[in-house]
Amino acid sequence: MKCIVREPEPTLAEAEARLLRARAAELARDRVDPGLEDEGVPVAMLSVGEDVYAIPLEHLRAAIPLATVTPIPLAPPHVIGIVRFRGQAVTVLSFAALFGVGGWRVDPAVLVVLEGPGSRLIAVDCEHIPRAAALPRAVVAMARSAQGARTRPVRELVHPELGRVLLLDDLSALFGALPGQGGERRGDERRGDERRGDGP
Amino acid sequence: MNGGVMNGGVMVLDPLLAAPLALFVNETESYARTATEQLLALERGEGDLPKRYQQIARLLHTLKGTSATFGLGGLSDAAHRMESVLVDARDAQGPLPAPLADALLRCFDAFVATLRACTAGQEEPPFPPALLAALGSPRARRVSNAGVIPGAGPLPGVAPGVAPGVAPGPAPSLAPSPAFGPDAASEDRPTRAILPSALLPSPLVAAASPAPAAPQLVAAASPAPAAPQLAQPLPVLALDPEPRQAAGAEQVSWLDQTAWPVQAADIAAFTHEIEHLRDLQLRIDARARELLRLLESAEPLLAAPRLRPLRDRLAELRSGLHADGEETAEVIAALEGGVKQICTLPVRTVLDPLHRAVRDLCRATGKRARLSIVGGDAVLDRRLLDALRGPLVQLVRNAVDHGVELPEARSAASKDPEAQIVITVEQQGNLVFLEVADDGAGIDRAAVGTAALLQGIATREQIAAMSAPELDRLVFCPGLSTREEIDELSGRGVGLDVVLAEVRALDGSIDVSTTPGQGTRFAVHMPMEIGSSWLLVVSAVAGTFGVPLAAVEAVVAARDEVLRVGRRYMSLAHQEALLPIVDLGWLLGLRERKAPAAGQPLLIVQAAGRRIALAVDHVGGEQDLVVRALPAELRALPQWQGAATLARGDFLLVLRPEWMVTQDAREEPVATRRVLVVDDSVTARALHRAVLESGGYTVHAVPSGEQALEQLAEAGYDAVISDITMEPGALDGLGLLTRIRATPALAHVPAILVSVLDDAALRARALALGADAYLTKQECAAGRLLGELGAVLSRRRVGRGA
Repeated sequence: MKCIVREPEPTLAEAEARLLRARAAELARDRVDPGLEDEGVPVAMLSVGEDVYAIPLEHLRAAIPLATVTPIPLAPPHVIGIVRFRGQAVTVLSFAALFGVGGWRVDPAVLVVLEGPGSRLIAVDCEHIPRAAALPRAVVAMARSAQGARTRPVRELVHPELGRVLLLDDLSALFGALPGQGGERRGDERRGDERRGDGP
Repeated sequence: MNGGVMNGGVMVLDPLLAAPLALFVNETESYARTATEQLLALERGEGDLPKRYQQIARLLHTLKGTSATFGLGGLSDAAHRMESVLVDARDAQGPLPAPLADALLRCFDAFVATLRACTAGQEEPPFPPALLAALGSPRARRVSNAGVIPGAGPLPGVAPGVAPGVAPGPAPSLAPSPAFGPDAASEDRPTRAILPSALLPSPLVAAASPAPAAPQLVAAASPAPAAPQLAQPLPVLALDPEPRQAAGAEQVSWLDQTAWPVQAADIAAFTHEIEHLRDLQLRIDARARELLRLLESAEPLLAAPRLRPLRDRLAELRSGLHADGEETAEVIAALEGGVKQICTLPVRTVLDPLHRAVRDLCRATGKRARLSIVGGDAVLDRRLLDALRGPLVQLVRNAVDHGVELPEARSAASKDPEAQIVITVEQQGNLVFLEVADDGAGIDRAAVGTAALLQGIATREQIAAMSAPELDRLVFCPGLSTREEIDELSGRGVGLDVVLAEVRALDGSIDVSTTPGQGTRFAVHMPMEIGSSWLLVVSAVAGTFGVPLAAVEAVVAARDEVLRVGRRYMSLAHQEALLPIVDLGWLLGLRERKAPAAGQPLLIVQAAGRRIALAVDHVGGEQDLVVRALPAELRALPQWQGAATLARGDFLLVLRPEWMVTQDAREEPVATRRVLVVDDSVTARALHRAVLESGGYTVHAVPSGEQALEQLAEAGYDAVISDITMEPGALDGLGLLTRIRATPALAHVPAILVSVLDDAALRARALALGADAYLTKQECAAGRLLGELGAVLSRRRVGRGA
């Protein structure tokens, strides 16, 4: 979108024009308040059963109701189906099935749409609308530098108040682990050995 | 060339001329295609020969004049020379001699390549003298001032005063124009050439200017400037799979941008905006429906006299909202139509040049073949067509070089000396089917096996164990060639492996089938991002799916007289054939296999030369829908061709016929315990499925108690796991359990009830109704659920034993 800077209309009083310019300057300032910056890594927190997941806000695109998912018979177990989001079909993944089912407290009713590398979108389910929070930078840095953390999409960290938190901050690794990213068997090679299906 | 300035040896085009020159390139490419078509027909002596000659002469005359207008003197001269020899041939009143056809075709190639080089910012390179020499010397004739050749008829499109003043002669005139001496050619001219082309003086300057590097013309294959011996087979010039690459990738990019100034990314963004608009329309529709529902439910209240005006106003608003939705849908359809027009081209634009390719190859190999195209009017995505150009050329080259026999051999085998090569194109939704078939000798499997052995591709034992189709597929192995000697066309073992790689890079597949002595077929299936198709909407269990209508021969109702039901297989007697019956619900893993009930619809589905009778629960009708590819994570699933968006924004999954027809002979999986999961939550079903399958169970899942009872009535299950709470109005878990326990045939089936509620009273009630266990969903962690299920099954087994 092209933005055009416009001067105040000439008919405005000088005082009003000054006010508008001051507001414009305010808006043009960095959105991230240096004070907030110190608070930590902004994340969306969501829970699945006993597990608490944190997703950096930069990856979050939307939270939508889980209502119109179309199940895909014969898809892998972690695929719930597809959903229409902003005109495109987006794969819906089961968080729990993807990372190990630990039970769930309520049936997931919300989909969180995430944007990965190359503007690719996926949606994952969660039990509630995620809430915004901030994780201490030092804790996040420690989790990221832990042994083997680089190759895993989820990194485990211990939050001073929340306890164990699973940080999903490497969407490249997550997308890379999904079928269709190379390394997986081609569809025709899987033919016949999958007998799972889900009634829509 | 007029209209540019030299900057560091590179021609910088006058911006005013860049766009017209790009249009001229497009126009010339189009002319070259038409001329090629006409030249091939002239060579064969087909149709109205004088008319064909005349048409090419007019094209050349236009090219001559327009080249001159742009100051492209070398090209103008070349067009003039081509025109002259063509008119001579016309006057000779007969088919075009093959050597002259060769020379003219190569000159057209060189003309287009030279012009492209000019658009890339190069100074006009000299037209290859060898090609001009190969044209021979035109008869001397008088040329009028306007450049009209007597006898060529009225020639349109050339403004007086811009025609080149070149006197035809035995050699092309490459001499500098008297107006601009050789010294001035490269230095002086550009500085004053930043003028609109209409104002420019004589255009012949460029012919004399020292060209920088000669462009890598396709015709540069000519070995020497001396006139080639045209009686000998010519190098195959038109078969460069990527002719545009010859002049450099940058040029291609520049040209593509100029020729089609719409970027793919822009189109993608625009398409997204359209989809956004569709979302908006769906929301408008949903709100209109919601408003209607509210109005209907509030009707008793709104019927009060004082509220009637309010009711009427609300009804009016709803009606307006509905009309807005319809209008938006019309706008979306119009926008989609426009995008389609911009992004697609007829397949013929890629296939037509292959006529020339076949002709040139036949000239080079001494063979005779005719190319036919079926489905050339189909329109496909430009990018896909561009990507297919290379594989198609290679397949055609392979057909002529390896498939087609020499005329004498064909005659000896009682075949027409002229072979047939047929390219078939068919689009089904977002899938493109391409076939290149020839009626040649077929693949020599013994030779392929020997070559594979000699080239270390397979061992003797491996080759001996191969089936005929497996042997045929060896032709796609890198390095495999049955030729003992390398020639210009083959022998390097590079070709079909490249085709395979290119097709796979496009997420497509290729297969080969051959009949010795009768021919070979290469079938390519290519997915597209989007395409529209007629679909037959069918349902199985609770799902609705689309079957491409092109694959459905007929729909028949199951009747006892035509069904053949055995222990393992079921067949349908249909038109003197026995077709395997495949239950769609079973095929998709939604239920156990079952025999069709009387009157149940059976679709006769054909694909890849096979037919099955597909048993579905219901046929919903035909719809013309836009089918899109599934997201990348799901494209490897062989069962699904894509998904279509229905009116309310939900998806209709489209089945792939080629997959369905191969599933009738599928082995049943090793018998496992079967569990029926009942839950109205799609995510809960997915989670139960994931847990139970990890424990080795076969899982069928349904969203309601009613559907569970239907499934239980048709097939035996080892256990039922049901949620207690279902959607309002549906049979819930407790109700289902009651019905199960009350049905003698089902009373013994173990049942585990699950709930999000950790409620002692609910637990007690479930157990009292006959539940074998009660779990909260929080307790449904993998180990606990599997452990509980195992324990329940053991208890039941012990109980039955006791």
